Amino acid sequence: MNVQYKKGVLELCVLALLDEGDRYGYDVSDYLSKQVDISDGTVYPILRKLKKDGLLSTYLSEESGGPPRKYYSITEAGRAEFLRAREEWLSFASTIEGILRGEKQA
Amino acid sequence: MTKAEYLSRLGKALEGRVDDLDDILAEYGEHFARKLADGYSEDEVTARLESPEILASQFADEGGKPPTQRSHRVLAILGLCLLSPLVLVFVASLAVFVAFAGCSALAFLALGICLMTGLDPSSLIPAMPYAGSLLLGLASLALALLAGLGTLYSGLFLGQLWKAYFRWARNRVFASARPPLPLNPQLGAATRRKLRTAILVALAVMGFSFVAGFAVMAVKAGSPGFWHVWHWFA
Repeated sequence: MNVQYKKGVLELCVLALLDEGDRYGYDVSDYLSKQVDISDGTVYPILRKLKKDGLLSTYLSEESGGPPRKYYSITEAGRAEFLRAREEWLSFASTIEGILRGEKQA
Repeated sequence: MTKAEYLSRLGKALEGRVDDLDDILAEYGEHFARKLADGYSEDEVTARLESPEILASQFADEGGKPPTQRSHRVLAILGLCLLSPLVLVFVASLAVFVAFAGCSALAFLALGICLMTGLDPSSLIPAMPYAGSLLLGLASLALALLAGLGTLYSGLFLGQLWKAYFRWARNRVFASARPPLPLNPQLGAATRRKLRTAILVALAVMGFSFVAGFAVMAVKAGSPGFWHVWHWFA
Protein backbone atom coordinates (compact mmCIF):
# COMPACT_ATOMS: atom_id res chain seq x y z
CA MET A 1 0.00 0.00 0.00
CA ASN A 2 1.17 3.52 -0.77
CA VAL A 3 3.02 5.02 2.19
CA GLN A 4 1.55 8.53 2.10
CA TYR A 5 -1.93 7.13 1.70
CA LYS A 6 -1.46 4.74 4.57
CA LYS A 7 -0.05 7.46 6.78
CA GLY A 8 -3.19 9.57 6.54
CA VAL A 9 -5.33 6.61 7.48
CA LEU A 10 -2.97 5.64 10.28
CA GLU A 11 -3.33 9.06 11.88
CA LEU A 12 -7.04 8.42 12.06
CA CYS A 13 -6.45 4.95 13.53
CA VAL A 14 -4.12 6.34 16.19
CA LEU A 15 -6.70 8.92 17.17
CA ALA A 16 -9.41 6.26 17.31
CA LEU A 17 -7.28 4.04 19.51
CA LEU A 18 -6.39 6.85 21.91
CA ASP A 19 -10.00 8.05 21.99
CA GLU A 20 -10.76 4.83 23.87
CA GLY A 21 -8.07 5.49 26.47
CA ASP A 22 -4.46 6.44 27.04
CA ARG A 23 -1.74 4.10 25.77
CA TYR A 24 2.02 4.23 25.66
CA GLY A 25 3.95 4.41 22.40
CA TYR A 26 4.90 0.77 22.06
CA ASP A 27 1.35 -0.33 22.80
CA VAL A 28 -0.07 1.82 19.99
CA SER A 29 2.66 0.73 17.59
CA ASP A 30 2.30 -2.95 18.39
CA TYR A 31 -1.48 -2.92 18.13
CA LEU A 32 -1.54 -1.14 14.78
CA SER A 33 1.29 -3.08 13.17
CA LYS A 34 -0.56 -6.27 14.03
CA GLN A 35 -3.81 -4.98 12.46
CA VAL A 36 -2.48 -3.09 9.47
CA ASP A 37 0.30 -4.17 7.13
CA ILE A 38 2.97 -1.62 8.07
CA SER A 39 6.58 -1.90 9.18
CA ASP A 40 7.17 -1.75 12.91
CA GLY A 41 8.14 1.68 14.04
CA THR A 42 6.12 3.60 11.44
CA VAL A 43 3.70 4.72 14.13
CA TYR A 44 6.23 6.69 16.21
CA PRO A 45 6.65 9.50 13.66
CA ILE A 46 2.88 9.76 13.48
CA LEU A 47 2.51 9.98 17.26
CA ARG A 48 5.12 12.71 17.28
CA LYS A 49 3.41 14.67 14.52
CA LEU A 50 -0.01 14.45 16.20
CA LYS A 51 1.58 15.69 19.40
CA LYS A 52 3.22 18.61 17.58
CA ASP A 53 -0.15 19.43 16.05
CA GLY A 54 -1.65 19.56 19.54
CA LEU A 55 -3.98 16.62 18.98
CA LEU A 56 -2.18 14.46 21.54
CA SER A 57 -0.40 15.14 24.79
CA THR A 58 2.06 12.96 26.66
CA TYR A 59 2.84 12.23 30.26
CA LEU A 60 5.26 9.90 31.99
CA SER A 61 3.89 7.17 34.19
CA GLU A 62 5.87 4.99 36.56
CA GLU A 63 5.45 1.28 36.06
CA SER A 64 6.19 -1.22 38.79
CA GLY A 65 9.86 -2.19 38.47
CA GLY A 66 10.76 -0.36 35.27
CA PRO A 67 11.61 3.04 33.88
CA PRO A 68 8.73 5.49 33.46
CA ARG A 69 6.77 5.06 30.24
CA LYS A 70 5.59 7.82 27.95
CA TYR A 71 1.81 7.68 27.66
CA TYR A 72 -0.12 9.39 24.90
CA SER A 73 -3.46 10.94 25.63
CA ILE A 74 -5.92 12.57 23.23
CA THR A 75 -6.59 16.29 23.75
CA GLU A 76 -9.89 18.11 23.27
CA ALA A 77 -8.64 19.36 19.91
CA GLY A 78 -7.65 15.81 19.07
CA ARG A 79 -11.08 14.47 19.92
CA ALA A 80 -12.80 17.13 17.80
CA GLU A 81 -10.47 16.40 14.89
CA PHE A 82 -11.05 12.67 15.30
CA LEU A 83 -14.85 13.01 15.17
CA ARG A 84 -14.63 15.23 12.11
CA ALA A 85 -12.14 13.01 10.29
CA ARG A 86 -14.04 9.86 11.19
CA GLU A 87 -17.26 11.18 9.65
CA GLU A 88 -15.34 12.26 6.58
CA TRP A 89 -13.70 8.87 6.23
CA LEU A 90 -16.86 6.83 6.83
CA SER A 91 -18.84 8.74 4.26
CA PHE A 92 -15.93 8.64 1.80
CA ALA A 93 -15.50 4.90 2.39
CA SER A 94 -19.17 4.12 1.91
CA THR A 95 -19.23 6.08 -1.34
CA ILE A 96 -16.18 4.20 -2.60
CA GLU A 97 -17.64 0.92 -1.50
CA GLY A 98 -20.80 1.68 -3.40
CA ILE A 99 -18.84 2.45 -6.53
CA LEU A 100 -16.70 -0.65 -6.21
CA ARG A 101 -19.77 -2.85 -5.74
CA GLY A 102 -21.35 -1.33 -8.83
CA GLU A 103 -24.31 0.28 -7.09
CA LYS A 104 -25.55 3.23 -9.11
CA GLN A 105 -26.31 6.40 -7.15
CA ALA A 106 -29.41 8.33 -8.05
CA MET B 1 21.76 -5.22 12.42
CA THR B 2 22.07 -4.91 16.19
CA LYS B 3 20.06 -2.59 18.38
CA ALA B 4 23.09 -0.38 19.02
CA GLU B 5 23.89 -0.10 15.30
CA TYR B 6 20.28 0.69 14.46
CA LEU B 7 19.93 3.38 17.11
CA SER B 8 23.25 4.96 16.22
CA ARG B 9 22.35 5.08 12.52
CA LEU B 10 18.97 6.54 13.37
CA GLY B 11 20.61 9.13 15.62
CA LYS B 12 23.05 10.04 12.89
CA ALA B 13 20.32 10.33 10.26
CA LEU B 14 18.19 12.54 12.52
CA GLU B 15 21.08 14.76 13.57
CA GLY B 16 20.26 18.43 13.17
CA ARG B 17 16.84 17.67 11.69
CA VAL B 18 14.84 17.33 14.89
CA ASP B 19 14.92 19.06 18.26
CA ASP B 20 13.89 16.10 20.38
CA LEU B 21 16.40 13.49 19.27
CA ASP B 22 16.68 11.92 22.73
CA ASP B 23 12.91 11.47 23.00
CA ILE B 24 12.77 9.74 19.64
CA LEU B 25 15.68 7.44 20.43
CA ALA B 26 14.15 6.65 23.81
CA GLU B 27 10.92 5.62 22.06
CA TYR B 28 12.82 3.18 19.81
CA GLY B 29 14.89 2.01 22.78
CA GLU B 30 11.63 1.12 24.48
CA HIS B 31 10.44 -0.58 21.31
CA PHE B 32 13.55 -2.79 21.29
CA ALA B 33 13.26 -3.50 25.00
CA ARG B 34 9.67 -4.70 24.60
CA LYS B 35 10.36 -6.79 21.51
CA LEU B 36 13.44 -8.38 23.09
CA ALA B 37 11.39 -9.16 26.18
CA ASP B 38 8.90 -10.92 23.89
CA GLY B 39 11.72 -13.18 22.70
CA TYR B 40 12.67 -11.58 19.38
CA SER B 41 16.37 -11.25 18.55
CA GLU B 42 17.85 -7.83 17.82
CA ASP B 43 18.23 -8.83 14.18
CA GLU B 44 14.57 -9.79 13.94
CA VAL B 45 13.45 -6.52 15.49
CA THR B 46 15.57 -4.38 13.16
CA ALA B 47 14.45 -6.43 10.15
CA ARG B 48 10.85 -5.54 10.89
CA LEU B 49 11.60 -1.84 11.25
CA GLU B 50 12.04 0.52 8.33
CA SER B 51 15.66 1.42 7.61
CA PRO B 52 16.91 4.15 9.98
CA GLU B 53 17.33 6.57 7.08
CA ILE B 54 13.74 6.15 5.84
CA LEU B 55 12.38 6.52 9.36
CA ALA B 56 14.51 9.62 9.87
CA SER B 57 13.03 11.20 6.75
CA GLN B 58 9.56 10.48 8.10
CA PHE B 59 10.41 12.31 11.30
CA ALA B 60 12.05 15.16 9.46
CA ASP B 61 9.02 15.62 7.18
CA GLU B 62 6.97 16.11 10.28
CA GLY B 63 8.03 19.22 12.10
CA GLY B 64 11.75 18.99 11.60
CA LYS B 65 13.79 22.09 12.20
CA PRO B 66 16.63 23.51 10.17
CA PRO B 67 20.18 22.84 11.39
CA THR B 68 21.78 25.14 13.97
CA GLN B 69 22.10 28.80 13.23
CA ARG B 70 25.19 29.66 11.33
CA SER B 71 26.37 32.40 13.73
CA HIS B 72 26.34 29.93 16.61
CA ARG B 73 28.38 27.51 14.62
CA VAL B 74 30.94 30.11 13.59
CA LEU B 75 31.39 31.11 17.24
CA ALA B 76 31.83 27.50 18.32
CA ILE B 77 34.37 26.82 15.58
CA LEU B 78 36.29 29.98 16.50
CA GLY B 79 36.44 28.90 20.15
CA LEU B 80 37.61 25.44 19.18
CA CYS B 81 40.36 26.93 17.02
CA LEU B 82 41.60 28.99 19.98
CA LEU B 83 41.53 25.91 22.15
CA SER B 84 43.26 23.64 19.68
CA PRO B 85 46.93 24.69 20.34
CA LEU B 86 46.50 23.78 24.01
CA VAL B 87 44.89 20.48 23.13
CA LEU B 88 47.60 19.70 20.60
CA VAL B 89 50.38 20.42 23.12
CA PHE B 90 48.66 18.21 25.66
CA VAL B 91 48.16 15.37 23.23
CA ALA B 92 51.70 15.71 21.91
CA SER B 93 53.22 15.47 25.40
CA LEU B 94 51.11 12.39 26.11
CA ALA B 95 52.30 10.93 22.80
CA VAL B 96 55.91 11.58 23.84
CA PHE B 97 55.24 9.73 27.06
CA VAL B 98 53.79 6.77 25.15
CA ALA B 99 56.80 6.74 22.84
CA PHE B 100 59.17 6.89 25.81
CA ALA B 101 57.41 3.98 27.50
CA GLY B 102 57.58 2.01 24.25
CA CYS B 103 61.33 2.67 23.86
CA SER B 104 62.06 1.66 27.44
CA ALA B 105 60.10 -1.55 26.89
CA LEU B 106 62.30 -2.34 23.89
CA ALA B 107 65.48 -1.43 25.81
CA PHE B 108 64.60 -3.69 28.73
CA LEU B 109 63.71 -6.46 26.31
CA ALA B 110 67.15 -6.19 24.64
CA LEU B 111 68.93 -6.03 28.00
CA GLY B 112 67.06 -9.06 29.27
CA ILE B 113 67.92 -11.10 26.18
CA CYS B 114 71.59 -10.10 26.38
CA LEU B 115 71.80 -10.96 30.07
CA MET B 116 70.14 -14.32 29.65
CA THR B 117 72.04 -15.42 26.57
CA GLY B 118 75.38 -13.95 27.61
CA LEU B 119 75.56 -11.89 24.43
CA ASP B 120 77.14 -8.50 24.86
CA PRO B 121 77.55 -6.95 21.41
CA SER B 122 78.58 -3.51 22.70
CA SER B 123 80.62 -4.67 25.75
CA LEU B 124 78.46 -2.63 28.12
CA ILE B 125 77.51 -5.39 30.52
CA PRO B 126 80.01 -5.92 33.35
CA ALA B 127 81.25 -9.40 34.19
CA MET B 128 79.11 -11.42 36.58
CA PRO B 129 78.42 -15.06 37.34
CA TYR B 130 75.96 -16.64 34.90
CA ALA B 131 73.38 -17.53 37.59
CA GLY B 132 73.17 -13.86 38.56
CA SER B 133 73.03 -12.70 34.98
CA LEU B 134 70.20 -15.16 34.24
CA LEU B 135 68.11 -13.88 37.17
CA LEU B 136 68.74 -10.21 36.39
CA GLY B 137 67.88 -10.95 32.76
CA LEU B 138 64.56 -12.44 33.86
CA ALA B 139 63.87 -9.32 35.96
CA SER B 140 64.65 -7.17 32.95
CA LEU B 141 62.29 -9.17 30.71
CA ALA B 142 59.51 -8.80 33.30
CA LEU B 143 60.18 -5.07 33.41
CA ALA B 144 60.03 -4.99 29.61
CA LEU B 145 56.60 -6.67 29.77
CA LEU B 146 55.41 -4.12 32.33
CA ALA B 147 56.67 -1.25 30.22
CA GLY B 148 55.06 -2.81 27.14
CA LEU B 149 51.70 -3.08 28.89
CA GLY B 150 52.13 0.48 30.11
CA THR B 151 52.76 1.60 26.53
CA LEU B 152 49.72 -0.27 25.29
CA TYR B 153 47.43 1.13 27.97
CA SER B 154 48.67 4.70 27.69
CA GLY B 155 48.35 4.43 23.91
CA LEU B 156 44.74 3.29 24.25
CA PHE B 157 44.15 6.05 26.78
CA LEU B 158 45.53 8.63 24.38
CA GLY B 159 43.32 7.32 21.57
CA GLN B 160 40.21 7.36 23.75
CA LEU B 161 40.99 10.83 25.04
CA TRP B 162 41.34 12.08 21.49
CA LYS B 163 38.03 10.50 20.45
CA ALA B 164 36.27 11.91 23.51
CA TYR B 165 37.64 15.36 22.72
CA PHE B 166 36.42 15.08 19.13
CA ARG B 167 32.95 14.06 20.26
CA TRP B 168 32.87 16.98 22.65
CA ALA B 169 34.07 19.38 19.97
CA ARG B 170 31.51 18.19 17.44
CA ASN B 171 28.73 18.48 20.02
CA ARG B 172 29.67 22.15 20.34
CA VAL B 173 29.28 22.69 16.61
CA PHE B 174 26.27 20.54 15.71
CA ALA B 175 22.77 20.96 17.03
CA SER B 176 21.84 17.57 18.35
CA ALA B 177 24.28 16.38 20.95
CA ARG B 178 25.47 12.79 21.03
CA PRO B 179 26.32 11.37 24.42
CA PRO B 180 29.83 12.29 25.55
CA LEU B 181 32.43 9.52 25.48
CA PRO B 182 34.21 8.27 28.59
CA LEU B 183 37.83 9.36 29.03
CA ASN B 184 39.43 6.06 29.94
CA PRO B 185 39.81 3.13 27.53
CA GLN B 186 36.78 0.88 27.45
CA LEU B 187 38.18 -2.61 27.85
CA GLY B 188 36.01 -5.65 28.31
CA ALA B 189 35.90 -7.32 31.71
CA ALA B 190 37.89 -10.31 30.40
CA THR B 191 40.60 -8.09 28.90
CA ARG B 192 40.86 -6.08 32.10
CA ARG B 193 41.23 -9.28 34.12
CA LYS B 194 43.94 -10.58 31.79
CA LEU B 195 45.78 -7.27 31.91
CA ARG B 196 45.66 -7.25 35.70
CA THR B 197 46.91 -10.85 35.90
CA ALA B 198 49.75 -10.11 33.47
CA ILE B 199 50.82 -7.05 35.48
CA LEU B 200 50.73 -8.92 38.79
CA VAL B 201 52.67 -11.89 37.39
CA ALA B 202 55.26 -9.60 35.79
CA LEU B 203 55.65 -7.63 39.05
CA ALA B 204 56.06 -10.82 41.07
CA VAL B 205 58.60 -12.29 38.62
CA MET B 206 60.53 -9.04 38.50
CA GLY B 207 60.64 -8.64 42.29
CA PHE B 208 61.58 -12.25 42.91
CA SER B 209 64.28 -12.55 40.27
CA PHE B 210 65.84 -9.19 41.08
CA VAL B 211 66.13 -10.01 44.79
CA ALA B 212 67.32 -13.57 44.01
CA GLY B 213 69.90 -12.30 41.47
CA PHE B 214 71.17 -9.76 43.97
CA ALA B 215 71.43 -12.45 46.65
CA VAL B 216 73.24 -14.88 44.36
CA MET B 217 75.84 -12.29 43.43
CA ALA B 218 76.31 -11.11 47.01
CA VAL B 219 76.99 -14.72 48.03
CA LYS B 220 79.38 -15.37 45.10
CA ALA B 221 81.31 -12.17 45.77
CA GLY B 222 81.20 -12.68 49.53
CA SER B 223 79.95 -9.14 50.03
CA PRO B 224 76.61 -7.34 49.59
CA GLY B 225 78.48 -4.69 47.61
CA PHE B 226 79.48 -7.14 44.90
CA TRP B 227 80.02 -4.40 42.35
CA HIS B 228 82.99 -3.13 44.41
CA VAL B 229 84.44 -6.61 44.58
CA TRP B 230 84.21 -7.02 40.81
CA HIS B 231 85.32 -3.43 40.10
CA TRP B 232 82.26 -2.72 37.94
CA PHE B 233 82.50 1.03 38.05
CA ALA B 234 86.24 1.38 38.39
